[in-house]
This record gives sequence, C-alpha cells and structure tokens, in this order.
Amino acid sequence: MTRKKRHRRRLTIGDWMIHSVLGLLFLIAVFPFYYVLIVSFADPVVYIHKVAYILPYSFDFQAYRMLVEDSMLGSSLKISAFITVVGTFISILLTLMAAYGLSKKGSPLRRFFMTLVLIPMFFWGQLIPYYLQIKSLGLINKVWVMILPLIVSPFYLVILKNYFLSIPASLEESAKLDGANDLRILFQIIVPISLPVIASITLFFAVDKWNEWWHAMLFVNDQKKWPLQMMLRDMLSSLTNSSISAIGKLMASKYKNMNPLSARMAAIILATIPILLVYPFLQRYFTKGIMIGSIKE
Amino acid sequence: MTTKASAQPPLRRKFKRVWNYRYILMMVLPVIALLIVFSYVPMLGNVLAFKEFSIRRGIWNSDWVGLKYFRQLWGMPQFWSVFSNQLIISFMKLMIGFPYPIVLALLINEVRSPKIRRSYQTAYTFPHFLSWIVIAGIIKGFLADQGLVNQMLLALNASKHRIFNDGDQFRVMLYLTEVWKEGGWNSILYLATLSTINPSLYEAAEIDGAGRWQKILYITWPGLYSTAAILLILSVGNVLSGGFDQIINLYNSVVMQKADIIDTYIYRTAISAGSNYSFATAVGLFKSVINVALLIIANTAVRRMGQEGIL
Repeated sequence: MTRKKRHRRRLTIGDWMIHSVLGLLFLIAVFPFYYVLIVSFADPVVYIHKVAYILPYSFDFQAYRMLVEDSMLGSSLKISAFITVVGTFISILLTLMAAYGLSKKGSPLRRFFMTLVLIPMFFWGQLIPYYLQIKSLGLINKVWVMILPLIVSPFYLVILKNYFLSIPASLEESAKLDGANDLRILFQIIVPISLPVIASITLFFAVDKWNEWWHAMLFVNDQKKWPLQMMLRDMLSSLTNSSISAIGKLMASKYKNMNPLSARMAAIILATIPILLVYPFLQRYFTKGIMIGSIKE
Repeated sequence: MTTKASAQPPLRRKFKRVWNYRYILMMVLPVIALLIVFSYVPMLGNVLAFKEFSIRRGIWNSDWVGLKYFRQLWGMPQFWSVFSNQLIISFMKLMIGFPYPIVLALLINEVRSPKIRRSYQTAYTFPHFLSWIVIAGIIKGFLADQGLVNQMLLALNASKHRIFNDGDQFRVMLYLTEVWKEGGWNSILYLATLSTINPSLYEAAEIDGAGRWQKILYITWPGLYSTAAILLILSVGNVLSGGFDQIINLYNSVVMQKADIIDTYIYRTAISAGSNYSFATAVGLFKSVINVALLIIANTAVRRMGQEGIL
C-alpha cells in the first residue's frame, strides 16, 4: 500500500504534463466541429456584430431551411443515400463470398486469385486509361459509375479472408457431411459467427461510399446526379466568389441576408451527421479489424 | 482410392478438382471479374503512354511512339517544378506525420484511466472518417473572409492572414491539417500493438527500478519497432502520390506554384480542353513506376535491418 502511494506521487508531474498535452490536442480536435455547429445556427445580424463568434450567441434555422427546402442538396442527399445503401450491400455480399472462397486452402487457382487481388493495391491504371474504360462501359453520367468501380476493396477483402482463415475448419465439417453446399455453409455457419467483423467492414464500406466524390467529380457532369459531397464541394470551392455555385445564386436571389458562412457550415453538419451516427459502432470494432488485417497468413 | 486418383491423367485430375470446388470458384469470380474490368483493363491501358492516342482508333490500335512523351515530360521545367513540390510536400508530411502517431500512442498509453483514454481517442480519430471536402470546408470556414481567424485579427487591428495567398504558409497548413485529420487514426495501430506487450515486462522493470522513460525506451519502443517499420515502408511507397484529395480541395491559382503536385497536375492536364491523353498518361505512369520502385527499395532496406517487410 505504502509502496503504491509513493509510486503515484513520484509520477504526478509526468502525468500532469501528459494530460495537458493530450488535453490541448483534444481541444484542437474538437473545437473546429463546435465552431462549425454554432456558426451554422448563427443569426446573420448577430454574427456581424460579434468580434469573435465563439459562443452560441444566437439560434437560427435559416441556413438549414434553405439547404433542405430550396437547394439541390435535398436531391443530392437521396443520391448519396442510394449509393451508400446499394453500394454497401453489393460490396459486402461479394466481399463475403470472395473472402470465403479465398480462405479455402485446397481450392484451385487460389494463389493466382490472391495475387490478382493484391496487385491493384500497389499499381493501377492511370487517369486517362481509366476514364476511357469507364466511357467504353457507358458509365459516364450514370449513378452506377459511383457504385460499380468501388465494389471491390482489396484491403477489406484481405482482412475478411484472414479472419475466415482463423476459423477452425472443424466447424464446417459436420455441415459438409450433411451435404450442404459452400454457399449455405458460408451464410448459415460462417457468417453468424463472424458478425462483429462483418459489421465493422460493412460500416467501413458505408463510410467510404458516403464520402465518395472522386468518381462523381470526374465522370458525372449532370448536377442532378451529384452526391452530397460534390454539392458541398461546389458550395465550398469558391471561397470569395460564391456567386458561381448554384447555392450562391440562390442566396443572391431568395436569401439575400443569409450569411454564406452559415450556409456552408450547415452543409458540413449535414454531411457529418451520418458519420457521427455510426461512429460509436465504428469505434467499437476498428482496433479489432486492424489487428486481424495485419495478421499475415 | 488414392492410388486410383493419382493414376488418372493430370488434366482430368485438374478438371475434377475444379469441379469439386465449383461453388468456391463461382463465389470468387464476381470480384475477380470486377477487378479485371475496373483495375486490370485500365492497367493495361497504361501502354497509352507509349502511343500516339487517336480517338477514332482507341488505345489498342493507336500507333506506338516509344518514349516520345516521356522525353517531352523530362524536358519540361513545369513538370520538374511540380515534381519537386510533390517531393517537398510528401517529405515534410512524412517527417511530421510518421513520428506524430507514435508519440501520440506513447502518450495515450501512459493514461491509466480507460475512460479518459477512450475519450481522447474518440476525439483524435473522428476526422479520419470525414472526406477532405468536409475538412477543407471546415478549414476554409475558419480562414474565410468572415471566418474566425480574420474576425480576431481584425479585432486586434492586425492585417488579414495570408494562408491562401502565400505558398509557404499554405504548405505548412497542408502538413498540419494532414496530421490533424489522420494522426489519431494512424496512432490506433500503434496502440493496438502496445496492448499486446506483456505487462509482466513492465512489472519486472519496475522491480529493477526503471522509471517511466526507461520503460518507454527499453520495453515500449522495441515493441513498436516492427509496426513502425511496416508503416514507414508504406508511406515511402506513397511519397509521389499523396495529397490529391487534400490539395485539390484547398489550393487556388495564387498558391499553385508551390502547391501543385503530380496528381493535381495530371488532373488539370487531363480535363483541360484539347488535352493530350498520351502525355497525361505518361506523367501518371512515370510517377507510378517510381512509387513502386521506392516501395521495393524501402521494403528491402527494412528487411536488411532485420525486420519483416510487407512484400
């Protein structure tokens, strides 16, 4: 007991320093989001009269009303939701099947397929050949261009395959003796016992798809088919000249006294909320997921 | 039974094995097909860099021109300026972004209460899950004309900040925001590695009279060493291709000269009117080849040092 006490006292200054560094980093991590939130609700008149808007001085929904009711943000939300839901579903389904197949040690061509999966992690087609391939597939300006090319993620596939490899083969034996085929074994035996890992990979897929904008930027010209991220990009791209973007025009006509900064911050909040909602679940699993992925075969 | 099977002709035996595993193969095939369509066909299309692209004849039937576009590239001062921007920005990001998560993990590891550890990690990791569009929006929100920084500078009677007008300041902003977004996430792998260190090592060291520093130096750091080596290989292999998402959403024509990197240069070259497809492909391929070479060199170096590599 006395030893423990002495021990604790000796480390106090070190602990204090560690906590002050970590505490400062905590503030740096959190403050921007707090600021975005309060500015998104700022009343334009109150905002102008404050020297520094660092407390929630006013509470005004105008920015959100404009974004949801009058801008194209509403329709882009639908596109994003579609891409996320459909894309994640296809991704996890195909990844499950492929990961299971690649975890079968005796299967023919297994090493060859694994090599095919791994090479794209280090080497890929350049922008122009990629664009020409997308074009020849007829995917330009299609919503599916934001889904199909992104179905496979070699990284998540390898994580899941490694996890399946760690499941003892004896579990499947009895089902095999009953004459169940591989597809049934996967979905009736393997999937139920792997749910935590599958859940975390599903969430990772969903977050990636929600955040996707690269394909939209390159291959979708039609603003009606833009996902939320692209709409946001359009709003944020012109720091000084906001009249270029669709939102800028709307503000110039209908919402004349709107603070453009509030509109932008409100859009950021809208894009962040879905991530915030799944974040606790993501966090529960990501350490586990990373560890499993880093186990070598 | 076994002797009978081995007596069969090899081709038939192979076919039988494929037939036995037909469900397995059918389950793998969709992913392989998608990889071929969206990764391997464009990868083969990289030959465009050695051809004179004709829209009518497509990649495969265009005429070969050898290294013409690479020579054009190597002779271009603008390309080398972009190339050096990329090297400087990536190198500085590596210098800050590589040690930062290690230090962060070591600090978090010293926090005893699991609850506090968790809340720190929650805050540090969150930005990783947001796109660079959102993060760029937040940065611009702070630095916008009516944003917080200018408001405060105005209150202090100081002149407006110049981050978006000054290439050097802009670069520093790139390094810091990169660490802000990814540092917490990158520390997770180290923390996970730390949790695998046997606690009895610390107890034994304590009995021998080791202080905090000595424990970190002789137990914790050696435990992190191999993880650090692998992450270093990966980031060296990425030296020429990092930062597109970040820079494309933040830069402007004023800071372009100091912030234009290879991928943003390719992007602009590719989308500009009357762009030369072969040239744009040559730029990308040149970069890709160097990246792969760096990856292999880093991997070999780490192996020579007695650590396990990734390849």
